[in-house]
Amino acid sequence: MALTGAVRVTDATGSPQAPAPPRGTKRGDGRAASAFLLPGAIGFVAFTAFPIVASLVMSFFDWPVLGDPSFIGFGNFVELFTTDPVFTTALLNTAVFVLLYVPVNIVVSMGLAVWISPRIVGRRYYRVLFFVPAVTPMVGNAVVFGLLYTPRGLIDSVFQTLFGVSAPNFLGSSAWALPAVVLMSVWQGFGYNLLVFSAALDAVPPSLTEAAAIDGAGPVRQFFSVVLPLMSPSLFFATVLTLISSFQVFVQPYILTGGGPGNSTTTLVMYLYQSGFQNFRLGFASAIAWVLFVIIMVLTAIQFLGQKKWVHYDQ
Amino acid sequence: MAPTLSRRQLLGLGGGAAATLALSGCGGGSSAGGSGGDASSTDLTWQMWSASTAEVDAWKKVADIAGRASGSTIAFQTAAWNDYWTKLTSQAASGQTADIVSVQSLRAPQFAQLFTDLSPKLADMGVSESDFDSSILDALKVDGKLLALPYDFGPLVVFYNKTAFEQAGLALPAMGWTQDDFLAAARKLTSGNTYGFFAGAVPDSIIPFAMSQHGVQAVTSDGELDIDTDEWRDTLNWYRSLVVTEKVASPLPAAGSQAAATNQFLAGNAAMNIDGPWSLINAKATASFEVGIAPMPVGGSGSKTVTAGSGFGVSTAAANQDLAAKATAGLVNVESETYLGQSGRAFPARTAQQSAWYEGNQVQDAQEVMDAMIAAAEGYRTTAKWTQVNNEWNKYAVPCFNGDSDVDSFIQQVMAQA
Repeated sequence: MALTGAVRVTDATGSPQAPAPPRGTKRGDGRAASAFLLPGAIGFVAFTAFPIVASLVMSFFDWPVLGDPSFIGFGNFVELFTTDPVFTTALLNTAVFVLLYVPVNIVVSMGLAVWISPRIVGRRYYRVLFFVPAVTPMVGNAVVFGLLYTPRGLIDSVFQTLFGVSAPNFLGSSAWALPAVVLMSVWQGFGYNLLVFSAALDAVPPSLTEAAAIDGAGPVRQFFSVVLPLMSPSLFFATVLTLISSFQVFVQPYILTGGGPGNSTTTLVMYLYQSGFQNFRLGFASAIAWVLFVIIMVLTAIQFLGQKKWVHYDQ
Repeated sequence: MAPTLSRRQLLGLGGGAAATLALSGCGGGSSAGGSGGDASSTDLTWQMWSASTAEVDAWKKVADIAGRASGSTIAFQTAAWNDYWTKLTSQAASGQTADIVSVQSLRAPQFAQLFTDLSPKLADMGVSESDFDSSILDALKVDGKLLALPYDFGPLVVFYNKTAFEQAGLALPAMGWTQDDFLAAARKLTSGNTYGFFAGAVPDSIIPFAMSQHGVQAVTSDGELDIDTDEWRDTLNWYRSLVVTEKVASPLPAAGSQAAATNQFLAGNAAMNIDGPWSLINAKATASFEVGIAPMPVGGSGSKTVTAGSGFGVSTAAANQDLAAKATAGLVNVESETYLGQSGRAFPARTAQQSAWYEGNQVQDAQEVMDAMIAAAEGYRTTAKWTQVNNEWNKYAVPCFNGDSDVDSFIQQVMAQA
């Protein structure tokens, strides 16, 4: 942001006497430009570029917090993929989380966006209501869900009253913990995509659906053959962002389960945190971060290649 | 010709100034942390965890007492319990620790290298080891080095809901009560959604039982983690049966809920719980029922437990080691310990001052149990990787005690942290 702002200001300068000079690099612009670039650039170098390079360097070291780092080449990566027992589990848990969370999130947010898209009463209030979870702090949401899920919590009490049996011990059971985390995440996350889809639905010209109706298309056919293709850029955008954020899932398991029971909810970022900040293996944690980066990059690249087949940018 | 600034130059200057501002903004606050500066200064820094403003005020008062006693000015720095250990680690990594550093006995092996050995300085500090409880003094020694002087400590004991015991017509647990008595009481106190006991997933809840049943801790006297033994297998199976077969303890909710035991006990959902005297005064003030403490029920090895506590030591990075040592002695001198005991902040590690805790907080009825359990206690032994052990223990105890996995796989997972 700071970069573009700075460039624009130098472009607009010119002494009062002289008419606006022809475009092109003029001597003297460079220094002023650099001065304006400096604040942004310092921030970028100090807080983005340097940590990225540093973490790449650290991933090739055995880097304890106390004591001296030692170079071990690809040792951390080799350990991750061969001897480390937790990494494979964390990778698998993350994959399961993504495979459950992304489709459910997209379907729920799309479904609700379609439901509130006709001029139903109180539509704007529904939008706000559905967006509230997305803007409330996730830590708070997770703590509240922890209370709902716990034995003798609200869900358990409702089960006992209605069915006379206890609800599963959601967070204390290896089978239920991950689905419980997914459920909480969907509740937290669908509001954002709902807004995106809701705006995209509003942008679909009614004349097109009317024309389709005259041609005999029912509501379902209209949605899948007319509306959905027109919304495909939004759908693509939402899918890419949701996928990336779901690979980075951390707060939900951290607060709800601490990665347990056992390692059943230990995700990649959770394991990264444990390695770096509980076990103080900074190099090993950096290696996990880079593996995660490569996974996300490859999957996003595949999505961008695949979009040619199904995303329609011209209306 | 007078030098004039063109608009471009002015803008350039403006940008430069903004950059300078941004830079100085980033650089601010780097003066935190002690140890810098010259050795002749009488200014010291002390870092300690705290949970409330009332606690901070109490510690500042102790800093004043120690400052007067040692002729120094002690600046108090604090962080919440969990953040404290992260902060200490990162400060240590950059050599920025305070002059006086607080440490819990369970974490002493992990942070041992940050501390100066106080043993040779004790005479100069005017401190006699015999004034302090020996089990906590031992727990703050690592490889023969005395890392810190203890200010508080306590044995892990049984907290019980006196009101629930009386309503159920049960005899209150007294000295010499056995594990059969414990189980019988737990059965009687369990009905519907209230349970007789809270089976915590942390080592602290189980080690006292292992001590009473077999006289073993999780860490041997040689400092090695060892729960892959028949004794531990027996204790873990017994503990697991409280949840799985006896059903006198609720299924464990989630891993990572360290405060769960205390909360369930205070909410009246579990009638018994393992805890230490540091929780007693708060428990009495918070609970809507009467809280009592009982000795560990007698098992195969008697009624035994472990003690844990915390203390203050001198950082190796402190510029003026002697002054910091004298100030450390001041933080646990008679006046400080009397104040901490009387106000209920700490059960004093200085034995002569323990009466201040009983009398100042109307908990004289706890004295018999406390004295007996302190006498029957060993210092709680840990390893340098205790945080990891604790985390793994916590995570794998949940499926094990809930009946989803067995004791052997739990032992295997925890032992992987040895």
